Amino acid sequence: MSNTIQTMILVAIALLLCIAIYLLIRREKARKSYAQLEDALKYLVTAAFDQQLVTPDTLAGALHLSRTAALQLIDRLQSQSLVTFEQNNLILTTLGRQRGLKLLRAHRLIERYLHDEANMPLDRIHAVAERREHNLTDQQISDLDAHLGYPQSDPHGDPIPTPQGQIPNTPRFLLKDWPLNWPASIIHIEDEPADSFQRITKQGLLPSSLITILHASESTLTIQHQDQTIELPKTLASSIHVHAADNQAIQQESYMTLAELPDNHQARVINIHEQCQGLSRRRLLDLGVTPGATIVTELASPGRSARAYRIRGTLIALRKDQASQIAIQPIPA
Amino acid sequence: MSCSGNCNCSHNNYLTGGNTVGLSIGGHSRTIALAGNPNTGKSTVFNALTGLRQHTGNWPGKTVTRAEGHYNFNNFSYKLIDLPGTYSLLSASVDEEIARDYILFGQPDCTVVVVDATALQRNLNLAFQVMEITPKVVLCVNLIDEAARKGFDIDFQALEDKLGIPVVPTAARRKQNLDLLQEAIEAVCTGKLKPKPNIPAPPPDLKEAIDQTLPLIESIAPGLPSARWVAYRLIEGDTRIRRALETGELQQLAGIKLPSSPKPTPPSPTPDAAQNPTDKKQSA
Amino acid sequence: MSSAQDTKQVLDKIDAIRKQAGSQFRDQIVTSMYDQAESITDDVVTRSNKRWTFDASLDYVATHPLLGLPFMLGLLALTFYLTIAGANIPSAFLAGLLMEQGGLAGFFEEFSITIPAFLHYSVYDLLHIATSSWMNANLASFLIDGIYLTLGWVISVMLPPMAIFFPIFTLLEDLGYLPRIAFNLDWLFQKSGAHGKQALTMCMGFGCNAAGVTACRIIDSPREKLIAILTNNFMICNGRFPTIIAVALFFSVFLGYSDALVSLTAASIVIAIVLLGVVFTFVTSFILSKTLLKGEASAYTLELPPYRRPAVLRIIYTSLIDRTLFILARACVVAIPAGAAIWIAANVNIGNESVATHLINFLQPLGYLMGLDGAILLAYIIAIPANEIIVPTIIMLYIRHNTMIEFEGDALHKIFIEQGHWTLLTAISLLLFCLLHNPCGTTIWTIYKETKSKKWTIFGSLFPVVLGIAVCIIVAATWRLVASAF
Repeated sequence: MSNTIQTMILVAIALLLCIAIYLLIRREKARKSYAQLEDALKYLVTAAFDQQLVTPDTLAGALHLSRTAALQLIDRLQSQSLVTFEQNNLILTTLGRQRGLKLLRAHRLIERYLHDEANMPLDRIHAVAERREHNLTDQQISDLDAHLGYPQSDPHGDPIPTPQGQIPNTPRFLLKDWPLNWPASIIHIEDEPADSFQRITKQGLLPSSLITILHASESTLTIQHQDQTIELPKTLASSIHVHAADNQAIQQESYMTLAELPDNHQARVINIHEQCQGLSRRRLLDLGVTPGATIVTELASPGRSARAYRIRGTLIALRKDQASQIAIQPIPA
Repeated sequence: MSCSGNCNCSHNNYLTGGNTVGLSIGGHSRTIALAGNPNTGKSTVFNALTGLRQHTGNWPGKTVTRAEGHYNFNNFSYKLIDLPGTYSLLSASVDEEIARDYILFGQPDCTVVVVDATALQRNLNLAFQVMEITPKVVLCVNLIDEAARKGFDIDFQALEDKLGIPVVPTAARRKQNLDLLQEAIEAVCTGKLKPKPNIPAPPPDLKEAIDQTLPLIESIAPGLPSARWVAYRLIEGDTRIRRALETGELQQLAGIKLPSSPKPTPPSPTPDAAQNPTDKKQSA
Repeated sequence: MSSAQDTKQVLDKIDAIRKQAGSQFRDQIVTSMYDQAESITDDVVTRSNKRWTFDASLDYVATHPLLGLPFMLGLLALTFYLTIAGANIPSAFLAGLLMEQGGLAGFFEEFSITIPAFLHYSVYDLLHIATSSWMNANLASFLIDGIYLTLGWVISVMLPPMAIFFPIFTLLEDLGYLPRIAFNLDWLFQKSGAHGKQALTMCMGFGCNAAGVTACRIIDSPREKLIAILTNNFMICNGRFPTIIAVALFFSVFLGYSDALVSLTAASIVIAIVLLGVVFTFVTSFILSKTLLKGEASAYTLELPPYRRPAVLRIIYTSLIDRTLFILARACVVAIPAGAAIWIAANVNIGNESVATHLINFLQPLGYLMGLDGAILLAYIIAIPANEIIVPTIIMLYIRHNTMIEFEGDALHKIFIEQGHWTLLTAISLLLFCLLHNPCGTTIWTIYKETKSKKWTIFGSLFPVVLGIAVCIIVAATWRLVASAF
């Protein structure tokens, strides 16, 4: 008697599980095909921006699809009048461009958010943003824009399209074409392929890093960054865009940072680095870390991961990476 | 610690029920907001004034929700709102939004900014921000006993002259000068004393932008008292203020007594609460 | 009033101005305010040469790179020792006064004091005598053996430790020591990818996990806030302290230590469990930030406020009234229906056995695997609304068929050994499961309120209990394996 009941309960549970899994799979499939459509639009927008032509084959390659799958996708794009064909090239319609730009804007804003506020590592934000960029309303996107303080570019240095759908175009050069011994600021590092992006950032090279090419050989560039020299394969150098460093950036590089100030020393704040944006910048400002303020290193925590600084009469603990975002000038005792 | 912020409130209602009922029937009650940095003894001031026992603790972020209490002074009933302790009203974190929205939209009859006498410089930053929003401000310089112990000597008269608002030195823990604070609050509420806040002029670089914005604001919200502050916020791109202008909420403020519950952002786009760009909590 | 159209146009114009004003706007405004503040304070504030060094010297020790951590552990140890040593006697006194047969006679016997025979009644005895003549025996049993007895256990087990622990903890809080704890532990939080202020929320969790979860609002980064919320349950809340203390005391009694050592051993066990909870917090935070909630520790600013001399009398008053009594009241409110439920379950029979026995037998196999028993697991299910009533519920389940036990002295431990057939393994497993099990109902609800996510609420509720079951099974299996080898 109780055995039959037990069996029935088990069967019911198993059945419910199956239904749940089936529903999950179906939802996931619908989400995937929608995301695929939008990704195609985004790719077409960026390609148009770079003035590249897109054929069904290049689209298949970019989205990692088989040729048949790509053609099916193009059919769907056409049936929703998002793209048209011109000879063998895919051309976005106005509607398609609008949707692609909106998506690109959402993607880059989310990347900015993940980097500035959720503190995600640079090499992960692209993948997460890929998942989150769909299904945002216009209102949500513009709120996010405002929340982040209307950023101009994403953390890789790519420009963020404006709400009107314009992409600001700043002059930029490939690092491999840059002259020797001429200070340059990195403005953009291509986030795909992911492993070359990782190899670059591992060397400490980030957007807004200041670099100088010391020597160029057949296959490698010798680069001066801060006080280290880096050997960078030329293949990697072609995913880095730079422009001429302005004087302010060069001068900034020469300042000591708060992290480097020895214990029990006094210093004057010069400014907070440009890289420190969003909430963490606002918090520092709110606590009185403004240009001209005096700051004293007072306590070091066990493990020295953080130190406590006397600023404007109060004792504030900051982690090391944060202190390294504050440029200072030591005041001799 | 005994309970989350929510039970605190029910606590308070229960505790206050007795001593205010008799008096608040005839007179209308005045609303006082209590703002201040964390660790300034704000909750102690609140407790000392209201006789409540809102828990105090010496660490930043202690008060996460708004607490309310009452006290009577010269036959008037005063409702005291203890806002979350914040360093600023600009960073748009949840507690700063609660505090900012209450001071702006709640239109208290007087806002008391509690500052720590031993860290006046840092604390004045918040005082200036409140003074930008409303002129009806009293500065309560608390912890003067600690300051004296640590060898600080403060010229309160000079401070009052420089700020243009009433300054009351207190030691809330010893219940010192609380009567003076109550008098100053009364004077500001009744209009017997009209503070003329002396706020830092906008930096020269920004003067042009502000000068262009002010007449624009005047054209859609004539006579707005905190126009310059609204200009600051709009130039910074504060969507909450922008929407308040769009919906007319800011313009109609004079007629509104209670803060309409702020809606920071629409619901989050994904079920994933973590790392969600637009995930901000509704104020409690 | 101008039309909405005009407003929109004006706002768009302001947007254009905004774009020209550039990104340095905020910096410049804040700088101008601070510059003004600096110039005012320079004129208004003078500081005499007298340097106050109390803060500095205390901070030298409290946050010293080497001394800071031992100092912190020492404080923790002292707190628990005082709590346990101090709570022991009042607990026994309350148990005698409220519940034991023969009232306080047994309690005073410990001190070789004989009290007059007419005082040999506890409130429990008196209630039985008072109702015996007129009340239906079943109803009287339901009210007295069910509800009153559970309440009595809740009060005698919970009240004394809380009344000592809370004032001490509040004292540290008012002094300003908590931010120093966060500062000292920062390196661990950084390594585990968590926010430095999580230490503060953990300290709040010491008091009450629901309060700890609410306190997570102080963490700005949503990722780290979620980690702090999900791991808060690893901090032993005051509802669980009495259980830990009771079991820890059982431990030392079981091992036959002398009186002087009992409190010390118990205190060490409690500290070990608390530290184990901290270890679990860090490990879980680390795993979460490498898997479900990937990311690095974000920047944060933490003010270390000046130390303030605590107002001792006010602390004792508020921590007793606001915290202790509040939580006791909450426990009592839950204890009443729980007591009623236990009594009914113990006295309503299906077949030859009571409902409670059926349930206990059903849970027994899992309980055995975990080194516990069916009654303890049932107690954990009954106590989901409030963890405070775990020990009272276990006791009530053990004595469900025989509430009239001759207690003398150590009633609690007698029940554990004679009725529960406890061994050392039971105590160890119970300690572990007490640390690692689902949050109480209030906390679960608070997690939902704070995360607004069913998914994370379910995860936060199930993850610890699954972990707890796994850990207990592993420990019990190892224990039995080792025991059988000898």
